[in-house]
Amino acid sequence: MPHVSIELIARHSHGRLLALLLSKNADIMAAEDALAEAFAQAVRCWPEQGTPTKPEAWLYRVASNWLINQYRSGHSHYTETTADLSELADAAMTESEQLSTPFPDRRLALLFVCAHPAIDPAVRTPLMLQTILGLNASRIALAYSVPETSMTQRLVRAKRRIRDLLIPFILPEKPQLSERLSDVLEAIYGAYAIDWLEPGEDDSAVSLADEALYLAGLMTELLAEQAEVWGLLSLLCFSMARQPGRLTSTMEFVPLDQQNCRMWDHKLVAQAEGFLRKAHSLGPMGRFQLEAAIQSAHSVVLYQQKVDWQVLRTLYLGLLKIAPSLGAKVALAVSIYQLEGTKEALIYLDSIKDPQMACFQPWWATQAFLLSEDGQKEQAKLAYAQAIQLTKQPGLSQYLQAKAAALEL
Amino acid sequence: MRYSLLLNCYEAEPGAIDPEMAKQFMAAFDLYAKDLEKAGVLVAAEVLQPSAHSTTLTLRHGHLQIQDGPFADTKEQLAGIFVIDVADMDQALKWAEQCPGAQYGVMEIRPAATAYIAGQWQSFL
Repeated sequence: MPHVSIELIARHSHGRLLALLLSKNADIMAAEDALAEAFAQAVRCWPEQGTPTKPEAWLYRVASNWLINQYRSGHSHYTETTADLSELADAAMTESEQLSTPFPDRRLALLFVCAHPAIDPAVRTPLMLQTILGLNASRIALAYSVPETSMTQRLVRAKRRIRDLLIPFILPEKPQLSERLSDVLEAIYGAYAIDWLEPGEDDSAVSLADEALYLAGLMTELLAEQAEVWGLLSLLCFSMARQPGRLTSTMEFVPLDQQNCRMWDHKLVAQAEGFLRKAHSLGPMGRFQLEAAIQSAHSVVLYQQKVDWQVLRTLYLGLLKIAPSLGAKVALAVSIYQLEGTKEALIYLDSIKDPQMACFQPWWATQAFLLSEDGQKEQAKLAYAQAIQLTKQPGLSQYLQAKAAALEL
Repeated sequence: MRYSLLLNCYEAEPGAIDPEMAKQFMAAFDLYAKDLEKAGVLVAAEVLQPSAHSTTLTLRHGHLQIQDGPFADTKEQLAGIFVIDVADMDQALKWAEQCPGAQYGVMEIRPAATAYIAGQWQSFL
């Protein structure tokens, strides 16, 4: 089945091959064209001639040659001198011969380029999905609910900036590394978050959660000594493990404390715990490690233990210190409710001063819940109405409507 | 006294400028640069890449902030230009961060498109 193997290789090797091609020249568009050409050649040649013993080396050589021909015929953006060209050709040959083990892996540099501070944060995740995983613009556009042409334009603009600004394909030096690492991790988390917030009609086509998990796993291979990298992987695993309990059979949202934890993926939770321990052993608590620890604290119900809200409150306070967000503040309000009661939680929730609060759905949903607990039915109904209006997910909307309707009884 | 002469103009789409007209202007710019050089007043002549290729950097909120895009606050005006020659964008960002102006203002980093160097116009594209 040569076609299947080409697809598998494309899925697995796109990022590696592209990153390797880019180590010669920062023109992502040219390298993508070269790689597409190489895959097209493979589709033509492999069924007749058989799959080469080193398919990746074969693809790399064809793509390299194609790029060199482009330089020669002057189609490329860059005009190389003849000396540079022969150098390129030599490098292509020797590198393709070295492609057995270890395969030169320059994906890490490519990931840092995608999340470079000079690149618009909104396009970093799409850029990673396209360059590292080889997803096409239409698939990415679908996940972001934007027209394909807009996504293509954003991606092209970013690639031009990378080429024309001479953004270097290197791992940043120590002082910059940790700051830029958080941008890389943020962009990977972004791929997961899209899926979480807006599940599509056909999950198999749109879901980017698996892609995010793959990238997070890749980061742990490439930067194994960084605590936050393990923190992110742990967080994603915890989150994904709970996926099966997130919705009822009728696709209605189930809040965390009411989920049937037997539906969670126990193996994945255990893995997540392991990754969290690894993160903890490596260094100080970062944002992702803290968020993973919060997930871990929620997951104890799996082992017939009660959720320790004292611990959770401490974790949320820590999170607010290093990575303040409206979401963490609302979560803190919930832990205050559990520890001190409705009144205190309402006082804290009302004290949150943030311009984005008015259109932050979780704030309204929490407010509605606390007001109804406090017996303020009419106020609670208004808050639920606001929360429902702000909800994009049908399952969550259904749940909130049921809660609001219960107030009428 | 040194002066920076800043050219402001409409950004044309690629290919929108008539090649014949572009050729005439390139010849005129060449003459102009040579005149400045002959007069001994030229430090650097740069034609910048489009503003979409600009990056801004500031420390004035107490921490490093880097943004994709040109500087757009109309209340603040261009106050200086430093023309530097470095290997890549990361080096340029490092120098911009060290500029005292970044403490109170915003540095805009624009790669050169062409520059007049040692008697001739050199393209960086």
